[in-house]
Amino acid sequence: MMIDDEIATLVRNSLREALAGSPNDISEALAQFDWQELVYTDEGFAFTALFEEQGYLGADTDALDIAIATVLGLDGRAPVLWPLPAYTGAEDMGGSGVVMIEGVTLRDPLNAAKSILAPVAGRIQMVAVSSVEQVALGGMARGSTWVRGRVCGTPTTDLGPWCDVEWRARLALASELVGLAHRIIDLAADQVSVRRQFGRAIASNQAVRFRLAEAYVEMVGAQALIAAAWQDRLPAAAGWAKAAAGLAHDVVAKHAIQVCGAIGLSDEHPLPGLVRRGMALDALLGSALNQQLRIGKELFAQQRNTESSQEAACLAVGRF
Amino acid sequence: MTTDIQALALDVDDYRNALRIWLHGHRDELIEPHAVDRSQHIANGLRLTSTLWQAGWKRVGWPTTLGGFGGGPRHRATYYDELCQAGIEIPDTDLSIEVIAPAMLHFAPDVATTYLPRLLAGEEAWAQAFSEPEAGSDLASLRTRGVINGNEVVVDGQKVWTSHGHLAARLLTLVRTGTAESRHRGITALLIDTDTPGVARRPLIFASGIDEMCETFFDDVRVPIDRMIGGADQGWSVAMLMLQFERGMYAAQRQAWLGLRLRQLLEHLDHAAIGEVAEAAVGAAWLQLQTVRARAIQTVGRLDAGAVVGPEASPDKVLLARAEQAIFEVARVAEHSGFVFDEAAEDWRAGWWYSRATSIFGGSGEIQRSIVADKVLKLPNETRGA
Repeated sequence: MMIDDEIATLVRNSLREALAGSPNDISEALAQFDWQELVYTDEGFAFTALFEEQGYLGADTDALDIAIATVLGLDGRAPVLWPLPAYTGAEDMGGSGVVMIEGVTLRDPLNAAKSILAPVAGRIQMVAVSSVEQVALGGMARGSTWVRGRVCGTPTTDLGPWCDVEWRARLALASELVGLAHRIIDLAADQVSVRRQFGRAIASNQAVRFRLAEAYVEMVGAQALIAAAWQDRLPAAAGWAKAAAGLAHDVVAKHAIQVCGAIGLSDEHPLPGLVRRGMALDALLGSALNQQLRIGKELFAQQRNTESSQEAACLAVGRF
Repeated sequence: MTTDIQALALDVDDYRNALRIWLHGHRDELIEPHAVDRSQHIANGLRLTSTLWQAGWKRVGWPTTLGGFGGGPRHRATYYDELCQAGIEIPDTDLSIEVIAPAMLHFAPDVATTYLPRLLAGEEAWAQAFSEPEAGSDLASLRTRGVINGNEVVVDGQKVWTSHGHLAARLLTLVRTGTAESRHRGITALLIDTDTPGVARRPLIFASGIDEMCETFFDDVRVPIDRMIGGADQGWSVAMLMLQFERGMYAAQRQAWLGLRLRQLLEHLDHAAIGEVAEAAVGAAWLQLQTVRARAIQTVGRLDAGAVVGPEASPDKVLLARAEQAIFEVARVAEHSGFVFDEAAEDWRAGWWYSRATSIFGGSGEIQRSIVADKVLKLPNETRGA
């Protein structure tokens, strides 16, 4: 089956309905909708559509865990313990086979889980849980179901290289950031088009129009980079796409906060929630600013390892 | 050799792989030392184009009526991409080719068949002369007169900021054939030979010190009426099609070249003196470059499919200017880049000045933002919103 524009629109509308109907548990909706089948048909489209829609609705689900379970071919699902950059990753507890892992789960409280999925020694592994310390995640994840915790357990099944999970997850997070940015632009554009000051719509001022135009440019730029990264299926490109999406969300958020005025900074307005969610997603699996520095360091290192600029050491994303 | 290439024409991946291998084997003979002198620079580009046309690689992407092998915009973008991947700069004439050729093929196939092969094969350089002293971003206010008189169009007026116009054999121009108030309705596109009596050109020195552009004066210039591109008063449609390629394909060409420049910059900078500020700036520039590249891939795909690329080309233009400025800003501010005084940094200074022009020509950044605000976001504007 080819995903043409018409099918794409249908899929997106159905996803939006499914997410809106059960904003906190979408596993059943995704199963009914046969999202898994879509993954086999066109993985890039399946991921992009689901996570852009999730972002647009500002939904807080474990769609990422479900998506990864689908890719890994798991029947049931176990919560993934997603590493945050400040955490150290899996630590061997003295040769006993028991490891200690720190990270974040998106929905399921850790202390209810018998087993989790986590990166151990560069592999995605099923880990039988023996003990858990957990705390609800606050800060910019306030109000979400995210839990931060430390798990001790024994790896039972090796499900493949962690990087295969990581690059897909990065692209999923990137698309969710794009969806959030899209929603923020729509919210801000609606508000400044309706609200009038000095006898005219706020949006009729060039300074306001330019901010929203720049926000839009950022969003579609990140969206294009995500598409190119799916074309390549290379871990590096996925990292670039997530960084670009994180930066885009940041620019979009700041422009929107400015043009929406005071109401946009009150907690009753939807904007702060969409901004917080984006910051939390940006932090997961490496923030944009960290990525930027890492990319710069890598480019200099690559250049030192090639003879001259005629040797195209820096692999560019995508193909025409 | 050329027949083998012709067989590849329809599969972009095959074409890319074969071209990459061929360029790898030939690039040492193809790379010219950088020429500061503009006429030398243009001549080098024509020689490269001619070589690649003769070898057959450049014929891919162009219709057989022009001596091409078939294929389309994706093949051409691949050609530009692979040149730069191999360390070879895209000839400047290719920038004119992409702006002029698609519109000429569409609106004046006969003129195209007669004249375009000379441009494509690297026999002649052409330029696009749109801007006037009183018509920059507001192109529809142009005033160069074109009076249709029997079999001729008599042209009087002035064009300015024409890139490499003083080195071009022909100019694609827009003239006013309607009344002064007719705005975009009364404009006609003409292909004018620069050796026609009454055409006078004067190079303009760019801020970098290079004679990058020219101004052209038309005094009673008689242009055969069959040099009209599209009908009389149809020039705006011609210009709009040209702008689709100028904003879409230009970004594809430019990002390829910027990828090469960024690699050269990494080579130029003293790694021992580089700190995390410069590393982060290079990382940021790289991300912006990959973003415009990804966007260009989408837009070229649409051009290739024959779709009309309208306001969605505006983000490409904004992203391109941003990436180009970011890269040359690294060249300027990185520790010990020698940017301000060193002889060896002349090319980086020239590039920096040019990068500042990328958010001005072809519709300024402000025009692009207005297009996005109006046509995409549909925000009220200052007149509608009152």
